[in-house]
Amino acid sequence: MKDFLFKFTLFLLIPFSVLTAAVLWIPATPKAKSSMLFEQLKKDSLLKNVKSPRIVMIGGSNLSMSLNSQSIKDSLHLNPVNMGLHAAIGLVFMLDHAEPYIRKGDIVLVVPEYAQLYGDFGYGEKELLLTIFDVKSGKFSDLGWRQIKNLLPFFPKYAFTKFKPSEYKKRFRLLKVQTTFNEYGDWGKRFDSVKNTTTYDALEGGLNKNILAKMKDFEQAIAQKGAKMIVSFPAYQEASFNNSVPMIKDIEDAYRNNGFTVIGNPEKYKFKNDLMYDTPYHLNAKGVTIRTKMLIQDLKKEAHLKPVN
Amino acid sequence: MLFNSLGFAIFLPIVFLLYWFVAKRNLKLQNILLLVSSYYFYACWDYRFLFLLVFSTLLDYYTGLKMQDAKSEPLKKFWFWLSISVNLGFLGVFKYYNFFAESLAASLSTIGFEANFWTLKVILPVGISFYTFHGLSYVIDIYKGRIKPERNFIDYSVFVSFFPLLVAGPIERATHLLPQIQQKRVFIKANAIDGLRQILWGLFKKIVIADNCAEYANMVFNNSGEYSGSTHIVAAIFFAFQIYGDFSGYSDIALGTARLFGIDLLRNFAYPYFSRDIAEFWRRWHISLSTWFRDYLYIPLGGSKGGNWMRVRNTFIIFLVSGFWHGANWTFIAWGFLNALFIMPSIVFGTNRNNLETVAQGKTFASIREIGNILLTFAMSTFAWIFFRSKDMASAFHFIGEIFSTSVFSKPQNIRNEIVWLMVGFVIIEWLGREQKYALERFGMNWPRPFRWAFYYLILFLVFEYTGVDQQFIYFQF
Repeated sequence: MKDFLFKFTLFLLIPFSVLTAAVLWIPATPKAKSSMLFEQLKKDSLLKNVKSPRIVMIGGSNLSMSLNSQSIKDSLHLNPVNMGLHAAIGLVFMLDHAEPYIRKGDIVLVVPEYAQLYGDFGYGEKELLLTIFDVKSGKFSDLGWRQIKNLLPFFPKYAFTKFKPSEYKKRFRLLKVQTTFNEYGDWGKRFDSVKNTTTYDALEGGLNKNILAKMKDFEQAIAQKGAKMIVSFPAYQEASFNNSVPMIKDIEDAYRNNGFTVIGNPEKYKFKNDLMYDTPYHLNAKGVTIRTKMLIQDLKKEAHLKPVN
Repeated sequence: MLFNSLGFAIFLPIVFLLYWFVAKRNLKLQNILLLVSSYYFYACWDYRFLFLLVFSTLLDYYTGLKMQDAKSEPLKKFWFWLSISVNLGFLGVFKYYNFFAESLAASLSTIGFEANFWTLKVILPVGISFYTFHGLSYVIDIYKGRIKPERNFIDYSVFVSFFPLLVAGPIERATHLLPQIQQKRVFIKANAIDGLRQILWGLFKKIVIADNCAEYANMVFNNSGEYSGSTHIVAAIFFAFQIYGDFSGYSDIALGTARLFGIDLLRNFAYPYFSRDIAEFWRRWHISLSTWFRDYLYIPLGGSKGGNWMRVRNTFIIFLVSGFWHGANWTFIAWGFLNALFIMPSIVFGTNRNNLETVAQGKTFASIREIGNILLTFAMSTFAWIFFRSKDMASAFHFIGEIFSTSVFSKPQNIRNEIVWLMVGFVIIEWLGREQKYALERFGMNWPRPFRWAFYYLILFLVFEYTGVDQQFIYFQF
């Protein structure tokens, strides 16, 4: 028995030690450095430095890929800070990360992807690991136990990347880090084409009340600073929407039952395939224009925002 | 608690250490530990259904004793039928009530009667079909006088609830498992290492093969109509790999886990996709269920004793019941019917026992004819899987309709090449290990330890590298 345990422990300990060392000491690979996740640093800088009056938008890529902040600025005369980057960073991290930099008078528009509220996705996945260990935006020690639990399965996969030759290819090493986001944090390029958009299956895992509680805490924390939180719905591909109608209704009801200031409704923000770009949350140029117009209208009518002089 | 979850990775070593260190010298304590950990394992799914499991266990334990002690045949019959009807009653209520209510309402509406039956809004207790069949075999065996009832309630409860087999089998027999529970278990290092190897291979099958194939199969099956005919064919093949990787992977993990505790469970899969005809396929797929139906349904119905007509009738019955066992949906019944149809020629012409030995036994390569037969059998089973996977009959026919469109000759869409290569590697390893209990059993055993460990590390690497979207084990729903 002792021999068995010794050998089994040794068998596990060898890769565990190597991988832990890799995570802690090997810097981001050239391929990782070419990831748009490194744009988080620029977004952090925007959040710290953009002057008031401002509208801070928090969510995943439904914000960065599917919104035109310039139009929001032109219509509402608020300085936009689009924090949207990748849904898999997780809503919990996004809120925790933004909270210290929210100021008095800020309008904070929170637009989570629906999956953030269902199951454990809102605690973050591999992209959160990359954000912390490669991008070094945020600290591992600041994560909650639910986030850590969610991240654990991704550790080996992440650690393996440090040893994959494909991560160090010449084309990545020669790649200059070019900013792909504009001065507001929007994805800089708009796409006229329609790519082959996949369809998401029905949301799974049940409504996550802890994430809703996190949103509530965030709302109260920023209210104490004199900021206001508004919640809205992401642009979502119609076919994916139809696969999750009851779950999305649950989310909408939960927002309203929690007393959030909610603008628009999910039905309004569903988009047909000809307005989508590549994923069910990413719009092409025409879709972005339509979605932005609708959002501005909702901000004016339902959140009673008026252009700031 | 899924076998491929962090929770199980913590749970298993704790139970293992307590079992071999704390309860080491005390069989009773070992069995109590197994029972408590099995109930905890089950409660992690939904603690409310634990009561159902305990009730079902109590019922079969009690009726087993009562049958043995019955002074008269009618009394023995009474206890027997009480157990059978309550067991099947639970299954009927939780699994089939809504199906019958909705099907009846639909039938009545076609002749002009609008009926709106009350339907249950309950979730199916995980593993109910498996532990019910455990209990049924135990009660039937006592009634038939094949076994004596177990008088130790703890031992009997472990037989029903042993956590590796609790939620998706293999469906054990009292004659096989109970004696192992009653006997003192000794830790054998070679068995434990073999168990770990089988767990590793099961994880590979589930996480690398099944979950990655599932992503593709789900994409096409859930949005049939948006993809070409050739993509539909590939999706059907991917589903065939998914369900095999998923269920046989689960069985490998279950068998491997049980071996860590010194217990051997029944083998559930024997390389079914290398079968040369459908009869052989069914001797190699979900063996514990097939043999259950053979022993408790096919043979009591008369088996093959009454000539061709009886064999045909009984074969259809067991395949239809087997389909229905999988779920309360016409698609499962159609799947069972198709398999019965496919097996029929070999039943009628008496060739169903032609291929009893492993294909190309002792050889590296199969003959052209064998390969042809294997591919034909795989194609037939894959075609039947379309019904199994589809959410309803209309979707199944729609899916098949999409295959037979002009786009069947186009290039399949959205295939990830690396997944195809992994599937090819998987088939090769399975082929090389087809004469063993599981493919990795003897694979690389002659290699020096550093190479062997490197190979296991490679599999571990693939397990983590190709962890796709978590998919529930398919057979948990049954």
